[in-house]
Amino acid sequence: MGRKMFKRARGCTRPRPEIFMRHSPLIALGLLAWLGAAVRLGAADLRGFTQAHCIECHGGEVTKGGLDLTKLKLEPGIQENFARWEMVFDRVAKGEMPPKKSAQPPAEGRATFVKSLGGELHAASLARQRVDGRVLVRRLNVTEYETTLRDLLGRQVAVKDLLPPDETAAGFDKVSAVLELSSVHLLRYQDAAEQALKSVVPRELPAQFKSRLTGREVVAKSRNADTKGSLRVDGDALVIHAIPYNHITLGTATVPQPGRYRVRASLQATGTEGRPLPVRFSAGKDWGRNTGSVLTVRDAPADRPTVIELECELDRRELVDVTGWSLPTQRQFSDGKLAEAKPGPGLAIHWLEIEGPLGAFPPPSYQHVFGDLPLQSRYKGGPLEVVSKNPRADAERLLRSFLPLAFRRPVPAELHDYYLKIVLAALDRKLPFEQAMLLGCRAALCSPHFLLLAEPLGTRQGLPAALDDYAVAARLSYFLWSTLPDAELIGLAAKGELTRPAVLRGQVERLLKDARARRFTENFAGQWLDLHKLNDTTPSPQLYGEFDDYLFWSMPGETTRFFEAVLGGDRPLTDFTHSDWTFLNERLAKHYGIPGVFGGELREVKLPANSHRGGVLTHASILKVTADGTKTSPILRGKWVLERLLGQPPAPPPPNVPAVEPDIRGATTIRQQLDKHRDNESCNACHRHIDPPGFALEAYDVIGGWRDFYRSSVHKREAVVKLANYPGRTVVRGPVVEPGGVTAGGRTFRDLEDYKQILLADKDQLARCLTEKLLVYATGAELQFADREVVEQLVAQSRAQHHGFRSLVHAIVQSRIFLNK
Amino acid sequence: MTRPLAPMERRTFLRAGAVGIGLPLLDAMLPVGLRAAAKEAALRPKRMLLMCRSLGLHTPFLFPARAGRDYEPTRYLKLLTDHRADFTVFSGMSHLGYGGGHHTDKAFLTGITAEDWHNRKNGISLDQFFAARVGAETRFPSLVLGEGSNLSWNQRGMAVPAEGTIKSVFKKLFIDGTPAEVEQEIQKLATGHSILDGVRNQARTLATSLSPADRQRLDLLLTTIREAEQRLQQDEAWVRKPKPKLAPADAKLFADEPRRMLDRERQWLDLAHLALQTDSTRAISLNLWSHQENLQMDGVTLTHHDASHHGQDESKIQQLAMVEEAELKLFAAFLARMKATNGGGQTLLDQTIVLHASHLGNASSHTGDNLPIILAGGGFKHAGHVAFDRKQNQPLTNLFVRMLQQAGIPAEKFGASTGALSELKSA
Repeated sequence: MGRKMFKRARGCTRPRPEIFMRHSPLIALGLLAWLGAAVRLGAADLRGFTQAHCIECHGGEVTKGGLDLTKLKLEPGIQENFARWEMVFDRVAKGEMPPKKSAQPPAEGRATFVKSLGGELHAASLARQRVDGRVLVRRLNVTEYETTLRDLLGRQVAVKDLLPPDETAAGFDKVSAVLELSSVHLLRYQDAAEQALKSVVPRELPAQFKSRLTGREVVAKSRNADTKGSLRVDGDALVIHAIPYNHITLGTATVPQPGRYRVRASLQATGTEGRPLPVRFSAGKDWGRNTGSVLTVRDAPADRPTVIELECELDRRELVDVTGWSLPTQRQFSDGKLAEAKPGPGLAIHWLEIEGPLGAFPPPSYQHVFGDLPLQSRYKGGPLEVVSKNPRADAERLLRSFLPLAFRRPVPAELHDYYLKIVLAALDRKLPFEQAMLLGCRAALCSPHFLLLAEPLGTRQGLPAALDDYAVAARLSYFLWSTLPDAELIGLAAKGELTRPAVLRGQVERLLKDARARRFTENFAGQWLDLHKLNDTTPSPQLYGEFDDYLFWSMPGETTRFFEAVLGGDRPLTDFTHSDWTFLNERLAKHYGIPGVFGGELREVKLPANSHRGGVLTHASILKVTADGTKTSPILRGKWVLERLLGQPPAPPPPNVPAVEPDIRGATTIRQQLDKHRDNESCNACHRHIDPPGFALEAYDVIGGWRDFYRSSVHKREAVVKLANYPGRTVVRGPVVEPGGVTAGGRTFRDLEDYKQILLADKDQLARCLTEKLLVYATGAELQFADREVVEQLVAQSRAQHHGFRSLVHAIVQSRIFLNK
Repeated sequence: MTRPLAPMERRTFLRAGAVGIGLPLLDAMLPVGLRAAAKEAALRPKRMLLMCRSLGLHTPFLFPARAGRDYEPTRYLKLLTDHRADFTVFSGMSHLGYGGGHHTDKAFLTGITAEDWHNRKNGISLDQFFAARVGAETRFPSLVLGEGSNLSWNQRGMAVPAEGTIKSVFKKLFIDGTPAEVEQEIQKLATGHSILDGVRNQARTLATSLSPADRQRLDLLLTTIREAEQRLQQDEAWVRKPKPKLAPADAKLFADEPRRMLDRERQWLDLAHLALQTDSTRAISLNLWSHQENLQMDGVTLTHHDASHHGQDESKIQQLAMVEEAELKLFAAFLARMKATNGGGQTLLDQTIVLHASHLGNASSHTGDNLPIILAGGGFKHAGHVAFDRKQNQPLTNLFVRMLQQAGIPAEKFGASTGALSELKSA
């Protein structure tokens, strides 16, 4: 019984409840001290130090924390033993041990001990890596699995829901140690492969579809659309003054076939005083939109009709719905007697055009399995089927290209024959060629060669534990694309050129410039910054009435665009902590109280002074994921800052300590409760680190708005105040927010601006944090002792490169950790 | 002239359809000549239904002031008055040392030690432990039902994911395939076996090129393959047997696609009841998941999650109570149905140990002690309110051990248990 299964946000594998900080500046010093030492000292020196400074509390009769150093031999080859010594190392290096109240060893003695023990641990860790590698064989996680199948078999593949959700470690769903393979997985992979393969053969020829509707025609075909009041027909144009109810769609013609379509829309803003109007494009059926189906938001200019063009994936009988997103809703429009007022802002739709399906036929996914074999229907109008004149030879030929693609490396003859036999046996049973082939493919997609990233211990250039080129190709594409390597990567691997530094660098650039790099943002930044949890809580409509779909849609855009801009422009990674720029549209700008931003498209904006914004901590998205729908918790936000930006995760709370019970009635603030909490010394040991960043963030509410006071849920007429950024809205004023505090290191700050400067004082630590996260994500294993030297090299290199984020990604790919198993 | 009937296959009876399935088992299905005692025992298999409420239960409205059978019913317990003799409410119980939080639901049914919890090593959950001992006799060894996070874990602490949606589970339980579909299913199971054979061979070959530690992991895969094969074998044993037919009134319970959380909860409970009644399985875990959705109840404007995180706001607590009262009414109706189903001279409730509880003692402060726990049915002599120390909680796993014993499993330990709970006797 027993496996590591639990979600972990912490940055380390080893359970070490007593240790609070992962890498303080002191440990960095300690590390540097032993990194510089080529000479390893003997075990006798260690013994001398522990005799003098440790065994009073950790030896013989007294064994605090269960540690008896008189009995603990130095045998770092044994994992348990290693973990104990690693803990000793960290605590002594950080100066946490011996404890402050005891006599301290001379600085030189401490340095020697750290150097000596560090050397032993490093050597042992490295030796293990050379035998086993640091990354154990792992299965594709669910995201990688589905993405791989989509790239292989077609974009319609949806198999995520068939599989159990993945566990995470160190904040990511990529870690080998927790990606278990259960019998449920094995059986469901069979179902998933069967389902995925269903979409490989297109059953109908693409029927080129093109339609253009004038605004007048758009409203004519819409069910239930009301042309009075909120909708106006003006000549051939349709003018929308309110967002229609969800069951009413105003959009393009419905498409007869699934596929990729091009939409062109001639649009114009009216009544906006010359400003552009944000236009929401969403996919829907003609009886209504699904929530969450927003395709994109684009701006319609006011001066003249302008053609806006986009491409999107649509299902059979879907259409693209178009509406002005800043317009009042139909309900507000009807309630507010806007109908009788002169026409306010509106969106004029002159015409909507849709054309498709786009792209080659048959699609590349068909070619992956069936190559150039023709498709034919047996009777007119019947479903298309694969035609093979020579089934046995075709099977052999097609598998020769499919298997290496799916298995991401050359396939030995024996393995090839195994799948060929399956297909041939099916042909012998008189199964049609197509079905026989799919049966073979199905078995291949259940193979460990497909499901597992199994990296053989290569001997590239005689380096111990070096990955072979194919493994590097796969690691790289799963790092930046979350999918299998493409032909170019495999081609370079086959030639043995991929691991040449210049080639590798060129490939990283190529991958990052490709559209598939969006998956790196989605999956790395999504987990690092918790963006995939954005929808986990809904803001209380009583307390936060200003929250709406438009704001919700805009929130993650700011952060993902910001991330891509830092990555794309090689900007310093310290921008994540603080920047004088961000991405905004008018909705976010209104929320933040920043003037002069018009339109719904996100664009880079230079932040004015005193905007209270800059860096991810001030993004509404981050402020939302670190709060629940009603209240903020300085503990959770503080923990988030320590984990995600500083890389110094706090220890979990001790067992059986009751949580601080939040109280939103308005009598006491969370801050007052926490101050009481920290009077207790044992709580304070950790909370003096956790709480301060949380306090600084108290000036931002659960949806990321700036606040000077808390909102109260108890109505009091005398306490009703207007919301500055939302004319016409009021809230009940509660206690005043106190965003200042003192850090554990004794530095005072008045607000988040001050606090960010404290974080920026140690740029190396910010770089170290991100380096470690990237390494875990890129390789699929948590960091080990022998990796520390590489991390420090990478941090130093990053410093030399002005902490450029793209440079760091390059450096990581070129590092020993990435290129070794 | 009459003669004893040959034993009738239960499924044959169940197929009779419109008769309506009042009884999970009939005497006629047992081999002729069984001794009375053995016969009675065979007619009374034990079952378990373990429910976890993802957002706790407001315990000030649940726990009575007084311990014992003559407690004064609280606001919530009033809703269960009709079943007062059929359940026990426990206060002062929990898994010790976890420290609270939503994620403790992962260990709610495993009850691992605090040390394992903090080292993130999970173990087997109670439903799976039970299913491993009784699951071979039914079409489904166990059913993992509900939504949200995982409650069920196998003996190696790996997640056993939920079966699926209400609709898909209903289909798996009660809808027979056409003859062609059954043939296809049989073919699919055969293919499944051969695919697993291939996986085994390839894993062995693959291992030779990998590191020693990798090879250990692949060894584990071989065990996993065996487990998957066993599951296929059990499916093969049942694939040709027709599924139980439901009475029209029961089938109708699932006619509508449930949209509201409460409608879903009702359907999950109905599904659990019918799965037990038709002896499709004897071990069920059910996650009563509720989060961010509009409940569409009169007087309730908050989402369930928001209301449960009330921060002591009186108006929020009142809304929470309205939601929880509605849920407890569903639970009361479920108990009534279980009692109305008879078999072997016992009610289905008497044969089924029903745990209705949560891993959160207080969702507002996310505490994991003083959990709300209601244990119903199962042939216990129910004890009203069993009150343990609210400061030094009794391990919940001691109750788990007692439940296993009641179900005829000679267990002495489960998870972090320190013994079997002695406060509850058999009826």
